[in-house]
Order: sequence, then structure tokens, then C-alpha cells
Amino acid sequence: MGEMWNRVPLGVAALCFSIAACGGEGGSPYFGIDAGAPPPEGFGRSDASVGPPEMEVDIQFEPPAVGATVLYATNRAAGRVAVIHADDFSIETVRVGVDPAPAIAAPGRDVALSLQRGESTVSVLHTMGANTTVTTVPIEHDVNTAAFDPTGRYAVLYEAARPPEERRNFHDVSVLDLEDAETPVARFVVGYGPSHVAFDPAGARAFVVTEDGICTLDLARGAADPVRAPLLGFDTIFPIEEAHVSADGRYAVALVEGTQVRQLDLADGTLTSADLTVLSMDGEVTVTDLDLAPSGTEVLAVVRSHEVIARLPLGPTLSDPTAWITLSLVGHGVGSLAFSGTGDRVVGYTTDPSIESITVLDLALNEGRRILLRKSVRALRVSSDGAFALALHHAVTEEGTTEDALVDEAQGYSIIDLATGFSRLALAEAAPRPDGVVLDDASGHLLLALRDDATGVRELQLVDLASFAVDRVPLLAPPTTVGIFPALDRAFIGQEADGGRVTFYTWGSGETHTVAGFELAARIRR
Amino acid sequence: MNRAPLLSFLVFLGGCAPFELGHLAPLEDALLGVDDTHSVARVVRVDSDPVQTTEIALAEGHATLVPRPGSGDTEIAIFTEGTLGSEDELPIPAEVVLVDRTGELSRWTLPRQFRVAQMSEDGRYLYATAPWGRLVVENEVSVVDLTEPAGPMNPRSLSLRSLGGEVPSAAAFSEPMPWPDGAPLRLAALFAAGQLSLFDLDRPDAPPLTIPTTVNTAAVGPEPVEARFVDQELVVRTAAGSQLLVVSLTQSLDGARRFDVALRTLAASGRVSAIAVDRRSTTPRLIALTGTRVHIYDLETSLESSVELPSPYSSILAFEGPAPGDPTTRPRLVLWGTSPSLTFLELGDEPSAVMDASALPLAFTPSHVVADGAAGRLLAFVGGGHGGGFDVAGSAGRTPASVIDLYDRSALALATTPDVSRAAVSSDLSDVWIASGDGYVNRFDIDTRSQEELWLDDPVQSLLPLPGSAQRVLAFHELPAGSFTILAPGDTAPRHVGGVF
Repeated sequence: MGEMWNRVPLGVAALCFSIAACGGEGGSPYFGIDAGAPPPEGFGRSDASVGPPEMEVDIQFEPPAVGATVLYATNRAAGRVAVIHADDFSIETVRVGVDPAPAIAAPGRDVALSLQRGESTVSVLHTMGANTTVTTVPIEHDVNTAAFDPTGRYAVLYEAARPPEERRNFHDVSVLDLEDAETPVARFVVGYGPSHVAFDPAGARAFVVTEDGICTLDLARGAADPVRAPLLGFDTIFPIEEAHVSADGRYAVALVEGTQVRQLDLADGTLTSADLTVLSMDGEVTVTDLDLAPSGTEVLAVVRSHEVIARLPLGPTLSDPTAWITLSLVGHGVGSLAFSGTGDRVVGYTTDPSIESITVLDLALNEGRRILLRKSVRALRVSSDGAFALALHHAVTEEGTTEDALVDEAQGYSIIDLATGFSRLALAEAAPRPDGVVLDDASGHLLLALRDDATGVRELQLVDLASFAVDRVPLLAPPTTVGIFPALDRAFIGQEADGGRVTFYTWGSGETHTVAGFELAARIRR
Repeated sequence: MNRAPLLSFLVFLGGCAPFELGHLAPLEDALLGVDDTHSVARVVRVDSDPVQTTEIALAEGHATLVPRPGSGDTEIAIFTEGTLGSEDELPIPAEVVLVDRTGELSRWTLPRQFRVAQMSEDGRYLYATAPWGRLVVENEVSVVDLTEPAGPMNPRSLSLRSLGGEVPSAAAFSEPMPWPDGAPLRLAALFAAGQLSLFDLDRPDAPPLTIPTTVNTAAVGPEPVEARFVDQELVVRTAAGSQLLVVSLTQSLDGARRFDVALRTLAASGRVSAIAVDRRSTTPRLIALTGTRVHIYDLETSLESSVELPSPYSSILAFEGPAPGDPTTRPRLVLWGTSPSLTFLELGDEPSAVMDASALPLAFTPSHVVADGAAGRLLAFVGGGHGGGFDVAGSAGRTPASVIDLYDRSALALATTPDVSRAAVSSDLSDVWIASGDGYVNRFDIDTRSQEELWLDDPVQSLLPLPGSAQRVLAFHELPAGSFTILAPGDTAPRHVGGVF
């Protein structure tokens, strides 16, 4: 098991790096790291208020039903899936099972799964050229989620918590071989309440994160009787609410009991524990976020009570405070972290409605700066290349009719150039939804679907990421989802309309093409 | 003003049975009266002196007169709905009699009683719905091809595929379409609540294609109310829907029927109140009115443009002509409804292209509009309308009618000092006839702006324009008896005819 860590005064045990707050204090907005410098006098428990709880909202940039060249639109009532080809706009309609959930496409492939709640079956849709074949596989348990391994060969099927839907399967997981429908489904029993699945890069193993710990699945196990997957726990009786698996599949980390960072070596089960209370003179800390850096070498914990970020190295030195790097963020109000896909850019932010800023950290250089915004943040995501961040804002009721008050009360979002700090605020007539956004780095565009049925707002906003210009495109029907087909230089907007409606937008020419009525076609009686 | 001498003629009917006028309709220089109590119709030709009358026996049952489009208003179908029968009489089925000024042209007997008869837009088909009797199958429709004589296949019966007990309410018919198998394809589209069924008219026994108007399986969808065939597509408007359904006809891959369909929808900003097809662009364009916008669709690509409207409109007229400041004859649209304005749209060559839009406010609110696209004008009336003319009672001191010049975008008001009780437009749309309650009749020539006034000895109850080159208008003094004066432009000695019914 992991070693116990004794509390050590921070001035002796830790290397401290301070980040000066920029803006009103003058001087360069950049800051440096003073290795080995003693902590600032008085460092210890901050008197600063912790503030309201951080509300982590995940902005989805990849809608689940988008393949490489097709969109899978599920008609639940009819038990059919419309396969809409984004290259020539042709539509096929295929029958799946009873009461299907929205189809889930394998990333970057024209393969999708339709999970039938009414029949405990899974339909595998393979689209090749103009045709889609459907193979239905029996599943012995309820499923509502699928995760795909990096090679695209395997899908791990389970039931995740989806309130307000009632969850009935808390332990059963199946693995489907997508390349060989003849291969029987491999069934596993895992810990309680799987929440998500990670994979090793080779696609040989899957790691199912549950409230009990991490279960490892052998994906190539193939046909066999059901087995109980080996469970590695975090040595706690409390449910694991959130755990992360490193990209190389070596470690899993979780925040246990609010202050302990536990690291599991997934190869041999070694548990290492890091006690973040050592960062406080009185042994009390509030940790609001724990994330693995995409580099896979460290885990970052936001200790909001003390306005620091603790960087803990993954591996055997996790528990050694002398190996930690703490970054003081006094005055920044950071409660959460968001990462670029490359991992070399981290943005700290908070969902506290009273704070209107973000902080950009560059882990490679250990530098960063605070960027003031015009509104507070309710969700944030960084582009995969780390060039931009999208912040969705709160709408806060303010006294008075000043411009600031009116801005605070409005819905809106900001695009932030993380290199220069330039931010563009776009006010909107409806609250942008985290699942109504597409950021297409390749084409340099951001799409937001805005919808408010009470006020009749139905709009698509197109942001050019070079100029930050915003174009507004009114829609005839309320938008439901947006997505992109990078290979086709095309985006789509699904809309709510009797019979189905999808509008495709071609980046280069700005042309639109709408396909509609395809779900109605499925009900023709011949 | 001189009072024209009265000339009265009595039509000697020589022992004819009593006649109770129930229905009246104009024919070419003739009048059609129907007495469905005594099951007889009379055609009265007024271009002869004396008038000539032809009687036509009808089948028993309540009658409906259905003008035949495309005939220049010269033919009318008399539909009788049949009787239930009794212990002494056999039931009598519905019947259709096609008449013109010469009398009966053709007659068809339907397989049973029906209550409702409607005509296809091109006037080729009359279809009967709402069968009635002691036991009926309500999904049956009987279709009469008015160009073919009665026979085993004429009329033909179509049976709607009722999904939830719905019954057919209306229909649309295609013209014969060239089809890959060599034989023209003729389709009938039956409307019912929540669905549209397509039948091959030459294979009425083949099962129809039934197309739902909603994907919601828990409720009945909106009812189709209007459909237009555009080449090999059918555009359908529903009663409450904000989408138009476009049904594309394709060749069937199986042998059960000759055609199959592909569906798509066109979204609008609200409930669509009217549609029109305009073929003056490179490919057909579809125009759809909602309460606040007009949408123009390219039917081939589904591309759409829209214009916001100042008022809700319900009518569309396509015309070609110049406009103020633009002497070029272009394809244009004018939109109107029961609101004090018109909106003009200037269209481009591309189907969805709208070059300009402008509104013309009116000093009045029209209640009825007669459109004359060929002459580039609208005749707008203020007041209620009824068969045979416009009721503009209470018109004293205001404008009962207005001639709107679509090229000049101006409205010429026709005002009145005493009340005008009736108004009518001649069949060629070139004259407006107005009658006040005291026996005076006025005619306004729209083209020359000249006026004429006549005094008739008897007050005028109604005005009935007759088709025909003489542009006659009948001024009825006593409608049930068939007493009228024959008016014509420039005729200063109109004939009075009494008691034709």
C-alpha cells in the first residue's frame, strides 16, 4: 500500500513558485519561478473565502453520432437510424431494434452502435460507400454507453449514470469486436457503477473506472463465460467519484476523501498516496479539481482554499512533497483546470460568478498570465492545439443599468487567444449549451447552436478563429446538435423538425444544403 | 341619363312542371337553374330572342353545382347525392351530369350515394367523397374522368388506407406524366387526417402508397389541405404545419406498383397559409406564405430565401410587367390578404433569388380581390361577397371597389354617394358593374375609364356575369322566379326577361 505521509512544514519540504497577480499591481504580466525560495511569509492557510462550489461542466466538441463521413440520426419511436452521407447528402434508413438510444459512432470511423433498451441488443452499423449494413448482437444486460479503443476495433458497452433515467445495471460490461461480428461478446463483471472507460495505447486493455476502483479488461479475450474483472482499489471505503487513467495506461489517480491523491499502478496494483493537507498549517484544505496532465507525467490538484496548484509527479515520488511543485495563485480565483490536447497549455478558471478572469499556465515554461474577461465563466474548454479557449459565461442579475450590469445580465461567450490574451466577448440571445459547440481547429471555425424555445431563438453562430468575427445564421427549426466532418471540410447542424432535418455547411464556399424529412420517409406504408 | 324603355319577354314554357329554383350558375351566354326538389335542371340561353330553354332530368337527391375549371366557365357539373331509398323505392346512387349552354353533355352514375363532390384543378376529374347510406365504408372515393364516357372504369373507386379510422377529405390529381415504362402515369393523391395516399389512376386496385404527415406515432398528424404536382414531384401543404412535404416520384423496383416515392420537407417560419408554383425561373420555384414571411424555394435544390411581410397575406399572384422606376418586364409577385396593404416581390432568374421587395399601403381593407394577372391589375372590393356578385351594401360615402394597377403600383378608387348594394366583375375582367337599390345600374370600363349608367324599372337583387364574347351581365329583379334584365356594354336598350323558372 502507499506510504503514509507525515505533515511537514511547507517551508522545508516544498519548493514554492509564486505567480504574481497581474493588472493593477504593475510590472510585467509574466512571472518566473524561483526554485528553492522560501515560501512567502505568512503562507499557510489562506484567509480567503473558498467561494461557491466549483461546477465542472464539460464542453462537448465531438457529438457522439458523427462518423468519418456520415451522421447517424436515430428515430427512437420508429426504431430506425437514418444514415446521412455528408459527401453527397444521400440518406439511407436502416432498421435497428426497439427503443434505441441515440447512435454512438466510433471516432473517425463510419461505424456506429445503436443500443436498444427495449430488447437488450446492440446493432452495429457499418457504412461502406453508399451502403450501411446492420448486425444485431444480443447483450445480456442493460447498456446506454459505449467507449471505443484507440484502434477502433473494440467497443466497451456498459450503463453509465444518466439522470433522470433510472439505472439498472451497475456491474455488467461487455466487449464487442467491431471487426468480427461473429465473435461472441465478451462479458465482464466489474466494480459498482462504472463511470467511464480508458484504454492503453495498443488497445489491448481497457480500464473501467468504477466507484470501487479500476477494473482491467482484456479486450482480446473473446468468447468465454463471464468473468469478474480484476479490481484495483484506492484503499477507501468511500465511493470514488472521479478517477483518471494516464494515457499510457500505467497509472490511475483519484482524489480520496477530499484531500488524498491516490495513485494506482495498474500493472502491479501498487498504491501510492499523497496527502495534500501538508500544504496547510492547520491541516485543512479544499481541493476543487484534480486532473492528469496530458503529458502523463504529473497530476495537478487545485487547492482552492490556499489558492495554489500542486503539481505531483506520477510514479513512485508522488507521495514525496519535496518532489511537488506548488504554484501560488493568490488573487486569481482559480478553482478548475482545462488542458489543451497537447498538454503544454493549461488554463485555470473558476465558475464563481463573482470572478471574471482566467489564468493561462504554460507548464513547459512554468509561466502564465491572468486574462481579464468581461463576464464570469460557467464552462471552459481549450482547443486541442492550445491556441484558443472557449468560455461560456454566466448570466448574472445585476443592479443598475450600466453597461457592465447589462453585459453581466446577458448570455454570451468569449473566445480567447491564449497566446496574446486577446478575448472577444459575444453576447447571445440564448445560453450557449456545452453540447452545442463545435471547435474545428483545422478549418479555423467555431460553431455554436443557440436555442431558446420560450423566446423563439434559433440561430447558428459562426466564429472565424483568425479574425474572431461572428456571423449569425438564423435557422428555421430549433437546433439540436452541431458537428463537423473534417475530411469533408463541412459542418452540420441537426434541427428539431417533424421528420428530421440536418443542414450542412461547407466552410470554403459557405454553401448550405439541407436534408429533411428522412425520418418521415421511414414511415411510408407500401 | 335616359331611362331605357322596358322590354319584357315572357318565356312560354307550355305546360312545364313547377320549378323551384335551388341553385343558379352562369354558362356561356346562358343560365343554369337547378331544382333538386323536382330533380330537374334548366338551361336558359339568353343570346336568343326569345330566350331558349332546355330541360334536363336529374337523378334524385340534393344537388351541388361544380364549375369545371379549364372550360372557360362554359361547363358545369351537376352532382346529385342520391337517396336512401324506402320500402317502396330503391336507393338511388349519386350522379354527375355535365352541362353547357346546349344542355347535357355527359352523365355518369356513381356506385353509391355520396355527399360531397369536388373538381380537380384542371377540370378533368370530379371526385366524390363522404359516402352515405345505411352502411358505408367511409374510406371510399369515386373518381369520374370527365373526358371519358361512362364505363366499367369510369367512374373508378379508390379506397383510402385508413390507418386510424381517418376518412378522405380532398384530393389532387396529376396530369399524365411521362414514365420510364412507356405508359403515362396518372396519380391521385387523397388527403386525410395525418396522411396522404397516392393511387395509380390506371391501376385503382393496386395498394396505395400511404405517407404520414408526422413521425409522432402517438398522435394523428396534420391534415393535408393543398397539393400541387410540379413535374414529377408533389408539394403538400398541411392545415397546421410549418413544413411543406415534397414527394418525389420514382420508378418502383417491385412489380406491385409502377411508382415509388422519396420524401423531403421544406421548413417555413410558421403555419403555411398558401402556396403557389412559379415556373418562370430556371427551375420551378415554390412560394409559401406564412403569417409573417413569404418563403421562396428552389424546388430542385431546396435552397430558400424569405422576406418579412408587414401584414399577414393569404393570396399570391404571379405576373410579369414593369414597375415604377423599372420599365423592364420582369417576373414579379404580388401578395395580398384582408389587410390594408399589398407587397410586391421582384424575382431573379435563379429560383430562390429575390431582387427586391416593397409594400403598397392601401387606404382601405379589401375583403375580396379579383386578380387579372394578364392585364396587370387587381380588382379589390370592400364588403361581403356571395354567389353572383359582391355585396357592398353600406358603401355610401366610401370606396366600395378599387382598381389596383400592378405596373404603376397605384389604386384607383371607385367611390359612391348612395349605397351600392351589389357589384360584379364581367367575365373578361374588363368591366365593373354596380347596382344600387333603386334601379340604377352603372358600368365602369377599367381599360378606358369610361362610365355608363342605366335605369331599370325594377330594383336589382343581384348581378350575375355570364361568360361569352358579349360580356353579358344579368341583373336579377326576382331571383327565384328568374326575372332579370340582360345587360351588355354599350347596350342602351337592355332586354327584360321574366319568369324563366
